[in-house]
Amino acid sequence: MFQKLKMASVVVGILFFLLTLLAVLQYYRFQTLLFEVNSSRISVTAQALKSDIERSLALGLPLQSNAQLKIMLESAIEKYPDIESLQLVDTKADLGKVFWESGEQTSAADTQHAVAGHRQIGKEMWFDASSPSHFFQVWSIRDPLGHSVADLILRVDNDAAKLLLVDARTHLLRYWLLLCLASMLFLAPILIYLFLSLDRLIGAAGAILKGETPNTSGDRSSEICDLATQVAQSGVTVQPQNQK
Amino acid sequence: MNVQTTQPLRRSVESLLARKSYILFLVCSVCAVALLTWLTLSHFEKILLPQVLSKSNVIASSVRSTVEDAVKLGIPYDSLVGMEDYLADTLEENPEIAYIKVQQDGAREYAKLRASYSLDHPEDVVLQQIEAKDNAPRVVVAVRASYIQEKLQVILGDAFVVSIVAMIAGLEIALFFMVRWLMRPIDTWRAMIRGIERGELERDLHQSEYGPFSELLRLSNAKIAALRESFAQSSVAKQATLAWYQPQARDVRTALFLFVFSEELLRSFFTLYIKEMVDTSSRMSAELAISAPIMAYMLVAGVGTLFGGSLVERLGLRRAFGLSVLISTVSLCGLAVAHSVFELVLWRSVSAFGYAVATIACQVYIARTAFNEQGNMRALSIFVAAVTAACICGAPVGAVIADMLGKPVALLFAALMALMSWLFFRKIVMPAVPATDTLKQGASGISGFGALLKNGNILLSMVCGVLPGKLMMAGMLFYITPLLLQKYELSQASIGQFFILYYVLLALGNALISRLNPGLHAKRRLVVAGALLSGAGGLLMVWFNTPLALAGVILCFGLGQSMLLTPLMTVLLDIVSREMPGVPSSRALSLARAFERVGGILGAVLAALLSASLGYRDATAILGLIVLILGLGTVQLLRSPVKRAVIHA
Repeated sequence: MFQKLKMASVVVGILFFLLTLLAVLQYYRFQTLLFEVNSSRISVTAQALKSDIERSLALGLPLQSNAQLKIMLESAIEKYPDIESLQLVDTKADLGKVFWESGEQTSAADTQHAVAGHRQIGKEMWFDASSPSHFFQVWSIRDPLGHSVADLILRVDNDAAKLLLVDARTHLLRYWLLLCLASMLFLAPILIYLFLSLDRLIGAAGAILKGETPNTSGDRSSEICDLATQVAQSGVTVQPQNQK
Repeated sequence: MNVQTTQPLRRSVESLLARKSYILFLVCSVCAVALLTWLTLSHFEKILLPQVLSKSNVIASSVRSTVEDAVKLGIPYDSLVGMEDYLADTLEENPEIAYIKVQQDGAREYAKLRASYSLDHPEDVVLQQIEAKDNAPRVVVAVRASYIQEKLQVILGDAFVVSIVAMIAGLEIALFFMVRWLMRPIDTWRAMIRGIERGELERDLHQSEYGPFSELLRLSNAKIAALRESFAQSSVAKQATLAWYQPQARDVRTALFLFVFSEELLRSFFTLYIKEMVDTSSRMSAELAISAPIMAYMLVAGVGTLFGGSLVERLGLRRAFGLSVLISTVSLCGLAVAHSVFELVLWRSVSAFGYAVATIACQVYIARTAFNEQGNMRALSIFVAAVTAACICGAPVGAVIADMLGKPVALLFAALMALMSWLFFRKIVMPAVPATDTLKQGASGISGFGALLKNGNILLSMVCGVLPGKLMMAGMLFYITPLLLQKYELSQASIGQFFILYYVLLALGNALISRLNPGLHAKRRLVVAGALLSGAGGLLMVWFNTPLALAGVILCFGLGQSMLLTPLMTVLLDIVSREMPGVPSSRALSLARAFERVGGILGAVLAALLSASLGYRDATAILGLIVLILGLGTVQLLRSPVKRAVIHA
């Protein structure tokens, strides 16, 4: 019985493996999708802010001395509490010199990482959700000539998304467990029944080898029994050692 | 009387049992996968919809404050200029919105509707509205009801691909246990029955067998031992020195699968990994720097394939495979911690050598287990099946790991897989070295290539049949595909799934051609059609610049190669046996391997040069054109006479 259980457990194990792989991948794809949706919601605010900053540049107001920008950043944070901090960073300076910032203090390392990531990808917007507690979004600020003069860095709280992820994970785990259990309860007994049939064939073959009459009936041929019969008919009958 | 141990005449109870178990597992798996996908996607939709609606609310607020600011500046609401363009831009930037309306009581309405939508079908949208207040107008944003489903369709596609990959990987696991518990014991039992029949009793069970057949083995072995003892009393006794079980090609399958799998894991993300290094550390042209490790890999693997045979011969199979596992594991770890392109080139070259030696070791093992031509073909099909399964599973699984845990972790996982392949290899029984070793017959190195290349038809098969395929594979599939898909902003996991298109088509095509086994002339036609189709797909990129078009290129390439690869080898061997009867066929096959490597190196170089000057899209089209032009050369093969004797070889 132990052998049959082992064989059935391999088949059930493969099914578990299939479901696990599928569940893990679906979860990560959902996480990516959720972060994308979350980020695109913030990008609406960021784009509006970017347009306002670029408009002030077009009016001839330099970034470093335009105190109105600080008020704009603060107003955005007030309106959208998800945004933890906003920074307007000089693109030309290597260390990411901050023109204006608002909200919680962002570490210099985080700022540099965001600026470096944005520069490496070379696109208008860069998004990074690798940190579990918050995500970064970086937008290029361009002067009227189209030159990038600053980066608008948003650090956004990820707690709401994380709560949704926990909910998704719990449900996914529940479905996975339910299906694993259902598959096992359905599959294992039928498999064991099928393996018992194989056992009967092997028993019959063993009986033929011992020179006994097998206790089987059926209209189908058995490869194993045929082999044993061929041996028996050839005049060589195997006897267990203790019956010699 | 001879014992019939091979094919049953009619469907037996055993095959019926196997069929029932297989169908049961398949039905259960499909139902479980479908249910899990349906349940989770339904739940994901419930979570995502409020998020999308919340975004549309932010959009509505943003539009309202923009209009409010304009009104505050003194512009009358009815005379706002550029509202059409502003709303059109908002629609373009937010694909989830069907239409947007800005309204004020008793005043003009500004509205923009997506082209494919109509206001007559309110059931197609979910409305979000912000009411008018003081100077601020009312804003209505209609979110497309199908937007979430469209997004979730990507996950549905993923589920399909993952199910295929997991089923194939599961099949490999099942095969391992089937061999251990069923095939190996029954083969041993058959060998015992044959031994009793022939009176060859000087064999024994050297290790205990597992599985349901162990009882039959125990009974048979006990009888044989008793017979041997009775012989010992009456005549000259023979020592039971040999094992009943003779090694089979399938014994090496799991080890080979894991080793090739470890290498294929890198396929979808390695180019992007090099690109990351180039940006931070290298001074050479980015495109050339990206191609450098690929070229080094092809070169070293090519040289390793040519000369690795002698190393396998000298060290023995077990040590050679162990050495290659060690080399591969160390090099994959080295790749994971590399910081520069130079280090990547170095470690990639080392891993290429390990890969070449390991695959040769497996090929030699398989060749030594075959006792005749039919057995050799069957053994070779096991090799091809294991490699194909590893290729199908490797790229998507590697992509998912790289996406979730990072590329260095994926490389370390690959190293772990290489190491695991050793655990499976070290336990298998080594086959005896035959008196005329196929390896010696094949002769390593490049001797005899010159004579082969003087034959026009062989040269044509190589340059127009073998080389273009590998050129397209290294250039388009391995080099350009990840970079172009990244440019299309596809995730790493999605990039991995593009590779599966090629390998699945290749596997299906090969299986179909092997089953149909067309005549030699039909195979020549297939070679021509396949050579042309392999390149023709590349031209899709002239007209389209989408991931779907690239998928089309890969599909054409996969279909073309599946039509070409197996028939080309038959055609090649026919030419050799007909026009150069003195040359062993293994030489022609070695020459084909060498051309494959040359094609691979050329592909990487061409892809790098073309990408640097024209961009990835045009580079794909030009590579396709080159392959198409080279493929035209195979038309000449149709004119060569056909050797009737080998039509159904």
